[in-house]
Amino acid sequence: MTHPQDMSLREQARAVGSGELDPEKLLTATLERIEERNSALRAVAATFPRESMAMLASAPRGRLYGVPVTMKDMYSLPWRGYRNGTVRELGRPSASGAFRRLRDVGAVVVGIDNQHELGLGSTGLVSAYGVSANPWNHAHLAGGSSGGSAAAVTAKMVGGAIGSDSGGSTRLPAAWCGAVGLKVTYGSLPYDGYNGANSSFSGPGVLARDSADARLLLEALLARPLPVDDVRTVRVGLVRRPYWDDVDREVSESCENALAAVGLQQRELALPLAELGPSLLTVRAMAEFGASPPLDLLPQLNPMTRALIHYSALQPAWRLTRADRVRAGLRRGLAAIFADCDVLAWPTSPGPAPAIDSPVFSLPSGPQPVDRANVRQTVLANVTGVPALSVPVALHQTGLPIGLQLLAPWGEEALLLNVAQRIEDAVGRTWRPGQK
Amino acid sequence: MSGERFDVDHFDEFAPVALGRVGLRLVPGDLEMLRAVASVLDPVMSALDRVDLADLPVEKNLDLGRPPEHVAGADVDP
Repeated sequence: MTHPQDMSLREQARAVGSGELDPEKLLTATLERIEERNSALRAVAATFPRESMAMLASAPRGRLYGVPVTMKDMYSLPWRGYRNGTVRELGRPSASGAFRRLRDVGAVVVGIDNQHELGLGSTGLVSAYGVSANPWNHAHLAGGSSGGSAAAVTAKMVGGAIGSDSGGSTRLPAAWCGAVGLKVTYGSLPYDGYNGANSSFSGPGVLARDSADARLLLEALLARPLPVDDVRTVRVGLVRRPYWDDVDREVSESCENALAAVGLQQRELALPLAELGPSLLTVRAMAEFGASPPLDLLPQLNPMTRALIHYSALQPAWRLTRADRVRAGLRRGLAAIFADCDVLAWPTSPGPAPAIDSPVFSLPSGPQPVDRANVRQTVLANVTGVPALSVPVALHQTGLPIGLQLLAPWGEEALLLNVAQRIEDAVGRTWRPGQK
Repeated sequence: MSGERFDVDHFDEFAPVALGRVGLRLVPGDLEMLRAVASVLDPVMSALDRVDLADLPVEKNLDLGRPPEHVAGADVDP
């Protein structure tokens, strides 16, 4: 008999809704699946069967009635404040905005996902819960900061998870783990009870095994329909520099091939100031996140995280005003090139997931630090506020997934999902995300 | 630190004092890690210092959830 977590999120929702699948049995089977698979992956940081059962008992018969999902450790639940990958609660227990959206459609929060400590990294190497391993190869990284969410989805512990994305933290682990990951338009759902509530660049995200599941979960999170639409006339913009430069050759070829297979019109575009995206995000991140942890937490943090906080305190304030001028220019430039294309496309990450014991990319320019190379690819959506998505397009020769990133104008999440669905159809399913 | 330039030549003396002023205390090993982080991030951060701001707009009432032209009064030319 098929394990219910081998079913897609939408199949689970349909089966529970039609009465074919008992939601209590689904919840129990999900907890057992997490128990069975999590010790090797460290994807799920905590489960709370009693509270999940209570949530199910009072769940409304909405579109996700009885469907288990997990949430990143950046969201507060009524029975658990967020810890942000650290050793203790940093937020008060509360029904966070994202939690309320899930609860209102009948979903059941079954666990909290592992993440990079304070969200300050794209590897997942630093966490109070240990390093999340990649479901495709346990010796490789799941990524970060929402690495646990991506691993939980692709290892079929749950059909969907809520991540967050302050510099690529939903899209990057999605690319490395072979999931679909979508960061929403800035501010498009209530941010209360979310660690990124005071950030000017952070946004919640969804992670799922394919775009159809991501659509269902995102409709719940945004509380609005995201209609399927024909995308045959969509124009794809390619900003070669810096986003296609210094990318693993197999990664860039796979992304090019996926775009060719989908058969959409392509045009090359330039985006002035794009190369300054990582600089302005770093300045903003240091100002906004560096000051937020309580001082008495610092001794309990990883030395690297502590060094980032110390570094943030040494930054001159005048640099922040320069960063905001660059951001204004970048937003204006992005709005202008969306007059000439409907979506932008480039590789989500410049390489496949590195090994846990050697977290370095091998790129055409040579060995490169992972965070710097990753953030260059993903930061534009954060500093400008637009939605962005990563969709798996191929397997690298290492056996690890490759993700293609798409960006769309503000509020156009449905367009991203529609193009992603067409890409999924075009590249074919000779491999399946979440096989392992 | 607001208004204070990062002094690379006197990092080991400057950093603990500057951090102490905002209540941050370094423990053994912190200074070395901080120096390592600075060596990676300084070039990233300082790239902004070379930008000519003359042609860049100012966005008042920044609303990142919308494109700049849709925010009333937000887009102000320099």
